[in-house]
Amino acid sequence: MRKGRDFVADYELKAEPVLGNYCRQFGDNTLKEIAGFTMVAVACPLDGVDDLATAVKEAWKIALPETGSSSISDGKTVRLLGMARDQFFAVFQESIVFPEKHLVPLLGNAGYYTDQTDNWCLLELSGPNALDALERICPINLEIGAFPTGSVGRTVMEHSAAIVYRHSDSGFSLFGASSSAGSFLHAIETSLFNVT
Amino acid sequence: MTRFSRVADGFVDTERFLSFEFDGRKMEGHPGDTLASALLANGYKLVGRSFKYHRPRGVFSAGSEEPNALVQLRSGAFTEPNTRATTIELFDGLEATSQNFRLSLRHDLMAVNDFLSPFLSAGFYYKTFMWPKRFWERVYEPVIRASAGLGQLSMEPDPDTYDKGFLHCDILVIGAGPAGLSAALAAGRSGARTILADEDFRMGGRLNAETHEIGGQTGAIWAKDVISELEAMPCVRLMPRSTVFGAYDHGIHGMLERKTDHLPSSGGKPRQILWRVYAKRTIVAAGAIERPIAFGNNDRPGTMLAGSARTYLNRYGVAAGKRIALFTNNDDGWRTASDFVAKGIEVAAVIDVRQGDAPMKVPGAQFFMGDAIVNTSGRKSIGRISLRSGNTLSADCVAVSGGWNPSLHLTSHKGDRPEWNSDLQAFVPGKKLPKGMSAAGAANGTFGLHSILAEGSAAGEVAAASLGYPAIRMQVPDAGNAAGGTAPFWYVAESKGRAWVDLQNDVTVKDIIQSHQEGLHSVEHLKRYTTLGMATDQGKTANVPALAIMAELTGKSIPETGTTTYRPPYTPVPIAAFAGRSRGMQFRPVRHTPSHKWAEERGAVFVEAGAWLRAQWYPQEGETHWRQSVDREVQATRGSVGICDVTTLGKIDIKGRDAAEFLNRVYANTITTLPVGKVRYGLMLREDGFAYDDGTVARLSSNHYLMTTTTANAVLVFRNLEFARQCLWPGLDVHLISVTDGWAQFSVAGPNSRRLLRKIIDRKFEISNEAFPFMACAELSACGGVPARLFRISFSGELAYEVAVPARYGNSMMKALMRAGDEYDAVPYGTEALSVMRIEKGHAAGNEINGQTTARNLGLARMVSKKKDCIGNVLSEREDMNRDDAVELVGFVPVDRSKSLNAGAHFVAAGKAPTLENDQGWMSSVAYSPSLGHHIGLGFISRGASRLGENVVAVAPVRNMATEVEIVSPHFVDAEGKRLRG
Repeated sequence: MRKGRDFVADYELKAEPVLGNYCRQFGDNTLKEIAGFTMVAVACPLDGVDDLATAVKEAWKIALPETGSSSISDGKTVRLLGMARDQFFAVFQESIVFPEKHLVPLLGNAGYYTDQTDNWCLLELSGPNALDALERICPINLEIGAFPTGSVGRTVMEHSAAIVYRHSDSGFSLFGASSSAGSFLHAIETSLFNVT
Repeated sequence: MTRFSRVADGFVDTERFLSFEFDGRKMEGHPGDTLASALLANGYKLVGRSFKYHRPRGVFSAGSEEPNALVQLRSGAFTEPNTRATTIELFDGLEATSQNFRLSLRHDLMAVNDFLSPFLSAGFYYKTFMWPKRFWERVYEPVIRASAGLGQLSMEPDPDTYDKGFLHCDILVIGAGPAGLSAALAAGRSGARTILADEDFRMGGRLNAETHEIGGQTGAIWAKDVISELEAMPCVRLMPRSTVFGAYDHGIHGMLERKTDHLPSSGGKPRQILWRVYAKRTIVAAGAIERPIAFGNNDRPGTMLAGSARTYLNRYGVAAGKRIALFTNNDDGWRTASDFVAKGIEVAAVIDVRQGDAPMKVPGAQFFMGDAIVNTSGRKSIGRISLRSGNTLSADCVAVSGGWNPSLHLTSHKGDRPEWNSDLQAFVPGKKLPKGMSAAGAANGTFGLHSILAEGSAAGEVAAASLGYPAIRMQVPDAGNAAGGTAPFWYVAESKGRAWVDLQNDVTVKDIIQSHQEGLHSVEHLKRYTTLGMATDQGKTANVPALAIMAELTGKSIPETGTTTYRPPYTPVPIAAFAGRSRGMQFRPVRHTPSHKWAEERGAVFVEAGAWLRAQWYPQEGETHWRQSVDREVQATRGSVGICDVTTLGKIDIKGRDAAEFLNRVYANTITTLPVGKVRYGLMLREDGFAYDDGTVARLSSNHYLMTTTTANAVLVFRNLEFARQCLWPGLDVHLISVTDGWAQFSVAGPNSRRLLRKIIDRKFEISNEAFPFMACAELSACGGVPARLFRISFSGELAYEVAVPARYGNSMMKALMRAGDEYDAVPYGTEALSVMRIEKGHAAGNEINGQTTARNLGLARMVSKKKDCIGNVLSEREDMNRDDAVELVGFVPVDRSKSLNAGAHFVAAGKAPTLENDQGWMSSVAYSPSLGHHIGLGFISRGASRLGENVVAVAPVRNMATEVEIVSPHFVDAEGKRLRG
């Protein structure tokens, strides 16, 4: 917590991971909460895709991701998840206090930035039965041929909005709404139990 | 064990034994058995009673088409009625009981119905029970209900679990018989992602039941080899015990996988999985179902479909009888006789309705060409049969074959009309199969084995090639190709006794004739009148013979007579499987606010608000009634300060150069004039001009707005905004994203709210009344640098703020606010107190903005700007929505202040009857006001605003209440708004 002339912390606030840093093994599979990341929605202004692409290229040396795919910067400091025709999410591994302001020096006014970090809980699922488990709750085709590593998809799992990102052959990052994180976790746990 | 009828090994493992119990009798079977085959092997002929007449019935088929052998499986809470013994895979410890009898299976008291059958013919219930009228509910219905139905439910919660899932494939092959295996092999070799599904636990289809040879080996061995090859292919998924029960739009299929039904216990894992299968191509290779010929007393146990008798013999090594008679109208039926003879079973006779020479030799059997069975006799099973020619024969099993019907159900689920094939005397799939679907093999009306293999291969090749996979030309193995003709013969007209067409529903040839005589000629009418084709088997063996009989009666051809509509499911699917895991915690997602845990620890009572759980009130020690808690929370808030978690309100981040213009078009009131750092109340109309949601919009920077919506309408509003953005005005530069979950937001209300927040908001930010007046907003920081947003808005009517922090700080923030409020005796308040205070203030909420009221009704007519266009503006001008006598939102108090009020009460003038004609409006919200010490209400009444001080009666007929009320201003507390601006 910053302290100084402008900030007087009579009452300190503690950041609490929505699932309490959950981590559990299901056979050879691991399901764990990832806390401390930052996610910012970047919307492309009307007719501004070229400017945004240029800004992204200059900032991170990567291209704008197509919808359903992702771009990763060198050193994996940022992953851009293509969410829609005019929108991607920039995901940083570290916690950034004012994420929208963080992007301004990098991308200027080439996009509209909205912090999405706390809208989502992030679960990482990996292991030999990861796909089997997701098959029970995820309507989209996650087979490796149809959804290769680096793919990203918006979907619904057990009536809750979700984002699936494949980070390896048998590993997925699952973003669920933070308010229903408990239900989301329970759905994945149930799936893992059912398939292992 | 009793090896009564086990004459060979077949494909059961006779080295291992499984014990099971039927009607309390312990027996043994083997892995690979079905319950039906094990019962037959143990000499069981009588396995059930018929639905209506309680006739003794035996195993009739060897598959899912079984109409008779329905049993109650397992016991206690696990019990499941009406399961087909012919499809139940035997497991150790299996318990089954027969069903639909009183006393015992052998001695069923309800068999009296059979003697009363002259009075219980088809449609009898339409003609009887008409008098005396009072008997219907008191006598007839209870008696009918008590005697109707087959098995029994446990009436306990289902202890099993179920799951569902989603599968995707290039090619879905339905059926793992010769056609399906060939198709899957072709598809798999090409590399196409293929799912091969079969309802049986042993793949191979009829190849396991016949003695056909393929490529010089038995068909069953060929099937085993193919399955082994398919298993080794990574692109192929084999799914035995999986029934594709429905074909739906866009290549979607419903499939039920019986995951643990064949095990003594599920071990806590899902018993069944309901799969939604997305297939780019579908090959229906579901085979064919044999149909019977109706003859006198053809329902006696021991009567069995000929192909099924072969199945029991060849696959399970079980002889369905010791002395077999075969009754057929086709060559295929004769195979049964030859197979039985080959296994050393005596075949007494082959009776073929066709004239001419016998198509094959059957050593030891008598041949009766051009003859037919007219009757059977025997006590609870067949003993003798009588022929039309006058001959009688002893036989303990009649194997009957009336030809084969392609299993085309799935091809017709999307509306394809089957076509009649006169060579086969059967319907085959029509020409309008769903896009991407084809049929192969017997399901397509192809019956020669070589032709079936070739057609299956071709279907697999074509499907794979159409998806861009390399063409792999399959070598079709050598196989016989006999496919003899079938004579159009459906029933024996000279039958003695009743000739049964639909065994499950006890429908006879005579019933069909009666239906015809009574003018019910359409097959759809026939079905409803006689119940033919209903229930668990859906007439799989009965429908075609029945409509052929009807065709004969009407003088029309069979195709002119047509079929009933094929609808999913192909075979019964438990309701529990449809429910899947949506039970208990997983019935639906639950949304929690970040401070939920804190509220829980404080003992809050929660209420569902959509998917959210919100604290309704926070009881304290000594409080015994919710009103005590709520009154205290209201008084403490109005007296000092209260804190309410309002995270659930919808929050939509709106950015873009045209954000202001966009908001101007979606709100009824003007937004473009809203300065940065200010909040404005906004009202949204539907296209029809009615109000549908309200909330606030805060301008955080020149191109950045934050909209709040009601909790209930958050999703609806977002969806409508997105539609407007993408479809109505794609030329506007505006972007939306929900931030509802991202921010924990708290209302801090009451005269000490500013003092409390002064401790929370970082000091560099000034929040005095001058610097941060009513309807101000700011992005700032709190508690030492945590990003925060502050809005000076008030739902309670008090000096109030809403402070928001990123959700991960929400729980901590609630604690901080409470600690900071200690010196002011701050209280947390829930949704009840929130509601009381908003009613006291006269603020409309969901009860008032319910989709049926206009801005004018709500007293907000001036908000609908006429200087600009917005959604709903034009239609809000409709004459009837602007009548002088329209209802208007006002307040109500009981004239006798000790009386309570009822939401939903309607207003009538004193002395008037509570009728629609006298109805003047309704009470929308009521509360006990601790501020005023009596009940108050908000409601709509005709010309309300001009009737302040007038008395009317609020009548609530369902509660038998009528209360005289006075029409007052809706602003019960601080009508001038001094507190919230203070």
